[in-house]
Amino acid sequence: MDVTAAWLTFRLAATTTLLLAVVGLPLAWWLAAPHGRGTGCRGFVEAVCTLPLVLPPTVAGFFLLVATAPESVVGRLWGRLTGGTLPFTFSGILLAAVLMNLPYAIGPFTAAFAALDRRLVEASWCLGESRGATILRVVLPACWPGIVTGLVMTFAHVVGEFGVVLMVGGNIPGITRTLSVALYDDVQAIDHASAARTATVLVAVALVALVTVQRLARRPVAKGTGR
Amino acid sequence: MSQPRQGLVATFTVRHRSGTTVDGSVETGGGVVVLYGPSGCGKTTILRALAGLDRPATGRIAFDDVPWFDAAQGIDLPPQARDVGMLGQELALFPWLDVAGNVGFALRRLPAAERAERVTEALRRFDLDSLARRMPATLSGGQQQRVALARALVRRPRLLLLDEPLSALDAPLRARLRPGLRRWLVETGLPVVLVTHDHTEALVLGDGIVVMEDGRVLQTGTVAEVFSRPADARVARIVGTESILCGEVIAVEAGLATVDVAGVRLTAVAPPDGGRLVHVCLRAEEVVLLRHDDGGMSARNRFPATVRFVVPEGALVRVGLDAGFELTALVTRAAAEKLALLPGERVLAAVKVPAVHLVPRERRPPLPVGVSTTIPR
Repeated sequence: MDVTAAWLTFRLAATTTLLLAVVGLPLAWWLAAPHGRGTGCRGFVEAVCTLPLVLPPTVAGFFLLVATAPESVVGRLWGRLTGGTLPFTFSGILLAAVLMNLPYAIGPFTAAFAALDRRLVEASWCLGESRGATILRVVLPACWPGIVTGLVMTFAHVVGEFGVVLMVGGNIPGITRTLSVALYDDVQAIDHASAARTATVLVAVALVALVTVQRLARRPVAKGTGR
Repeated sequence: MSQPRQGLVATFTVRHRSGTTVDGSVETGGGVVVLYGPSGCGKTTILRALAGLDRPATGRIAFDDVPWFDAAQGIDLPPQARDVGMLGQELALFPWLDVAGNVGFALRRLPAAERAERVTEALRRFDLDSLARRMPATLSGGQQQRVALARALVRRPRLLLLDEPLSALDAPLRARLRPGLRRWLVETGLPVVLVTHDHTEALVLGDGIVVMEDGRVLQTGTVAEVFSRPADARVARIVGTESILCGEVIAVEAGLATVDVAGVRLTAVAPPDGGRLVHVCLRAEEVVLLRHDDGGMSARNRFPATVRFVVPEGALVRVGLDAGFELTALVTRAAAEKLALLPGERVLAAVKVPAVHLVPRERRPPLPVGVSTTIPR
């Protein structure tokens, strides 16, 4: 198995998960907000966030490649900010992974926030806790199974990301070559022993993730007091 | 320390997105004010506006002369700044915290020792000591309610708001908990605004009452006053016309209590928890009027009364009586004519034993709504 690719895959998955926690949690909070304001806008944003679920990765990858090209708006902005380019770099596949995995994070986050009993939040406000403190002391404890589910699903899905990484990142060892790309290489090179090892690792990661999520789903933490 | 506008003074209008409006008007310096009316009449909306959870469109809410909400001045304090204890219909206990964790939730800024002391004190007061480490989901409805009350009171709020505090419990438990809840509410010494649609709950828990229908306040007064003398037919329909008298149980025998009401002895079924002081409730339609004692009636409670007034109400006639205490009877127009009821006439009033309802009361006289009283804090 390609250890460099394994380490790169882990870094990509961990960073993507972290970024999606930072971006996705507030976004999901907004999407799950109960009141009627901005409903139309919200539906559109939700649709865009779900798009990667139905798009073939090659299609998404193609558009990303075009959109991040050095002469594109995003490419020029990135160039001015960092002096580098996005296609065929780690930053490029990171951006692609974040966008492609939005639904895996946003979905469970939004579901958890929407299922949150608003009365718990209001009870906290009436007990004198600020909005921020209420998020930390009420929303997170009540919603953490959903939040962890989103993070685990994201991590597991990035580990197995293939099409969009290949389209945007190509196959550069140590920079954009992830485990799933390495596996593809092994099969092309008829190295079935190495391919089998890599495939086994990927299956194991996915299984561990799903078992974790299943166990979380059975926890009764977010349930009310049964009145 | 006597200020002109002590306590809660609130008059406001909430506009719902659906277009319905609710006008609220509540004033209290102490005691328990009951917001009473049928489901959907806007009681909860008023409570939420007082707590700062819903924003009124117009009006003003002030406590001890400090504005919490003032549409004209653009003031709208968030719930955190109003210092109220709010108990929703759903108790909203935090399911991931145990009883002690729930009770101590609002005290995290206190030093650990003081926090522990306050929590222990609150647990003891609400008989929760032995349940401190239990999770809310494992508690009975009555226990959960005590936890919620302890959680709201432990931070010593200035005003307590309760929304249908007993509605989620089954009827026997509700009856058992009512007197205890009343005792706790009185002990806090806080002004309380309590929402209920339950007649007995209003009577047992309330000092003052605000009767509402369709988002409007219809009548305000003491519970006994409003129940005994509804301002108009609408209020009468909501509360029922009922004479509420102060009585004293002087004997209990074979489950029947003899009650003295201003010198008149009435027989009634004895209430289960045998307090001596009771409210004696007589519904107007249960009071039968006779010219003479013809001896052929089974009603055991018979006493002479003088007709004070006669008011026609549709097919019925409302008759005000003086029997040493004020009493209202509702009779048909035909009966009123046959009896030739006129003010000043002497009649005999009769009530069957099961129609005399006794509700335990305490020694504390009811506080009139709108009259300010200084409650030491």
